[in-house]
Amino acid sequence: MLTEKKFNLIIVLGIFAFSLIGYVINEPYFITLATKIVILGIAGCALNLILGFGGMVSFGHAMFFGVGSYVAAISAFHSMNGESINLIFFDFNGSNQMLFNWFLAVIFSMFFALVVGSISIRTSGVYFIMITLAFAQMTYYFSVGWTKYGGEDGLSTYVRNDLFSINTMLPLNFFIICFACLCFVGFILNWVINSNFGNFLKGCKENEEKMISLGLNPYTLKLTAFVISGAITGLAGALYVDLNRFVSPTSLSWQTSGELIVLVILGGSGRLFGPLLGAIVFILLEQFLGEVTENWQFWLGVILVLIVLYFPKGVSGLFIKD
Amino acid sequence: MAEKKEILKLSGINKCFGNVVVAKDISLTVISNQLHALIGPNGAGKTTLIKMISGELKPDQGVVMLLDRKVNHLSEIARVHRGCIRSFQVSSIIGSMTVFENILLAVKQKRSILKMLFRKFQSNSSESSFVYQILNQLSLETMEKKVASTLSHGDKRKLELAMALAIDPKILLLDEPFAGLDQAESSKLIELLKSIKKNIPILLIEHDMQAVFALADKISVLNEGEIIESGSVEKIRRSKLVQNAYLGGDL
Repeated sequence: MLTEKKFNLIIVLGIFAFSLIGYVINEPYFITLATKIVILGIAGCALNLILGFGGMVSFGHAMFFGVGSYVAAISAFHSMNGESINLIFFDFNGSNQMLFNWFLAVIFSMFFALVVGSISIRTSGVYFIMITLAFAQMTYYFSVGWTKYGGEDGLSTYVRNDLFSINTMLPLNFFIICFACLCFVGFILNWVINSNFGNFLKGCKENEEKMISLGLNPYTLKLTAFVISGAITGLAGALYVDLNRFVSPTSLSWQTSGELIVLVILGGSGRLFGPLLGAIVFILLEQFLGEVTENWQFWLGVILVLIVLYFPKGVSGLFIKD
Repeated sequence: MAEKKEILKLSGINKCFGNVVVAKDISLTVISNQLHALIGPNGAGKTTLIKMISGELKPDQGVVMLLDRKVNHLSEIARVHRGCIRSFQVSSIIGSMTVFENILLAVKQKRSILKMLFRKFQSNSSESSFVYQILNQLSLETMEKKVASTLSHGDKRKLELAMALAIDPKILLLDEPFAGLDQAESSKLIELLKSIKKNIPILLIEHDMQAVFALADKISVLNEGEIIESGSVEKIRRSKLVQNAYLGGDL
């Protein structure tokens, strides 16, 4: 059994090693897999902040992922075709700078999280699940009908955005960029979880009434967590666009929301990097089970049921000592 | 002896749930250094009254005064900030955290989210000495590192009281703190509340008459939403009205 710190370190170094191996044996596909793990891991860890620590089961987190994706993609798309967007006060020409597009993605998904959160957090339990789902489906159908940006067919950005003078088209370079984001996000989430705020949030999950009687406002606490979570999920979405150079309404669909929840449950909720392990297990299962059988999702379902029944702390619960 | 001050004053409180009257023209006062007990049969409206004082419910009519200020319009949270602290009928603690952390939560209840986000959940030396002081006061010092959910029922009740004390209350509203305690635990809690009430006035809802008679400076008897009698322990003991309505016999 490991302490949580060691576990986090091993997971993170493991992913890094995996992509390095891919580089050494000249198998770029490995690196792409590792990058996908990192990006989904970021989104999963962000969802975990509200699901695992705040007790809010958001079934609409694909919304923030997708909003981040679309914002980054639209900005990149306009920078590529040279057509500007008229924003009343000024014309926006798009950008091919990763940092700027990430920033936009984070701001937009924060805004969405603020609006959606301020309405949804008035409810809880099943109602919270349904209302977040409803909001996500609204954005999904909007994107399907938004023919200007591809509608159902999605939007291609062809090349990756630039970051300083790094050649982002090299898989290893892009992996390292995503990996750096993961470390940054890990640092932020770790900080939040261990702050006074994080502990009050855990308190809210267990006993909201008590938090009120301590003079704290659960609504503000939960909304803040929701916005932080949405912002980080948006960043993951922006990275995902750069990975695939493509965005489609699928990224906003309820299947994506479901996948994010699966990552959290698979890996173990309430652990900082539980969902990262969840992402590793999920992607590897998709990959290797997918080679063996076409119905890999059936077996994923079986595994998920077994985990929920026998390992409520997820796969990470097998390694971490309390 | 410090000057007698009215900490909490209710006047003309009325409340109905539909056709059911749960509070009928209730007036009562809690004075500093005093423990005011509120007794009455089940369903008399005691907890409802606590909820109206703490702000969870709003009275249909009447005024709630806290430290000479009307607080009717204030939310539950704002009233906590004014020092009106409540404990629950069912032990209300954070089970997954340790005893120390539970109390630290209460100590750290700062108001600004930003401050909360940028400070680590750690106690500085003055905070930990404050927490230890409370732990000692409630003789929980050996439990400091225990996870709250593993505590005995009596210790959970003490922890809840400890959390209330850690907020620096101006008045405590205690809802049946003696429920489910054994004889030994009860007598310890009586001693404890005796020492607390010297500094902090208490409004106590309780069924355990032994505790009420040992502690109360003043007792009000609530029946069907109405205060039928109010006065000293002796007066309540002797009151025929109370015996008929509530106790159905001699005390």
